[in-house]
Amino acid sequence: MKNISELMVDLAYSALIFNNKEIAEEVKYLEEKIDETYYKLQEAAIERAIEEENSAPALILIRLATSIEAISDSAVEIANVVLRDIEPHPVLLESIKESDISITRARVREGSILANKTLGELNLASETGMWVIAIKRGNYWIFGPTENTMIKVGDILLAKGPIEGVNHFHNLCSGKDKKI
Amino acid sequence: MESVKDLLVKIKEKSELIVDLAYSALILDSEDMAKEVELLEEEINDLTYKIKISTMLAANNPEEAEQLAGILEVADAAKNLANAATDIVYLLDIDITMRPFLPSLFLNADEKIHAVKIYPNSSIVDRKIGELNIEKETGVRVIAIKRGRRWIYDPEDYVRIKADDILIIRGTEDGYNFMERVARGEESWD
Repeated sequence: MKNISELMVDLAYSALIFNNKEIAEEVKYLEEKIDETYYKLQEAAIERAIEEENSAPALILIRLATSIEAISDSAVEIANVVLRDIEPHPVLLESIKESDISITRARVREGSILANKTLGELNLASETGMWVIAIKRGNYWIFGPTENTMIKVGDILLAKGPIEGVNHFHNLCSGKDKKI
Repeated sequence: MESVKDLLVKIKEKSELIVDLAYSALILDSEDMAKEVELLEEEINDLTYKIKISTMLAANNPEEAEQLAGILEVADAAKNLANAATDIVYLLDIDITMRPFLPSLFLNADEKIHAVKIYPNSSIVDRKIGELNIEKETGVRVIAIKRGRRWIYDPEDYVRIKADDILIIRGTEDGYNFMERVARGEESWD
């Protein structure tokens, strides 16, 4: 739940910055996943509490899950701004761009050293500080890619990371920088 | 009066920090950090209020009002997020014997939180966070520093790392392993 809720917040800001409804829809979809997990967790916790005749762990887990669920709700609130058919106010975009953790996107060009390698092999997050949070490949999206996700020429990568890492990230995608 | 944009930059940064600190407080079982989370929540509430006022002053016609409403919603979302983060640290009020499993809950999270102690012989002693560019170079972000009994939250670029500091970092496992070796002086930063 923690992983998904964090991905949701990142995606919600991405949806806003790129005024992209598909990303915003994904945030709503992930919210359904979170809710499912949340209900399952509640059931499991209570069943165990009855079995073990101890309610404290169940109470703690449920309270924690409730907070994480509330975090994911905030992400949905942000995503809804994009889904409302009114272009987000320019000041919102500027504020996200200027924040110390930025979100950016870049297309992987022919000759980029990222092409045909998995995210795990590249170790991009450790080496550049940039986390790939989504990939657009042709008409479909890969949200929250894993270590095994392969990057291909033509992919559009959405990444978040420190402002200092943004230029290097763009140059890696374009093929200008040959070393990570 | 601060511009809406500056207020939004602040609220975004602080709402990200508060979530990281809330999880850190749980993992490290730190009352100090929990208190900082509560302070941050107040700051974020305050920022939300300021954003609301500035935004309302900016609307000249219905179209503008519709666009500006989006800003209010984002500010509200940040406030709710801060509120949820604060609820997380309230779990520390529960008697410690009832919650032994709490710190280990997030062992499998994608981005883990760790504490790294800086030894006097480490190559990063007396160097500035900004100069080291830690996040870009290692993929871990320093979210707080414990120095003696004092805490520095979300340290600025000009903060120098000192011997015996405890850095609270969040990010990749590789980055953490590297930082741990550098902190012990087993590997040089450069």
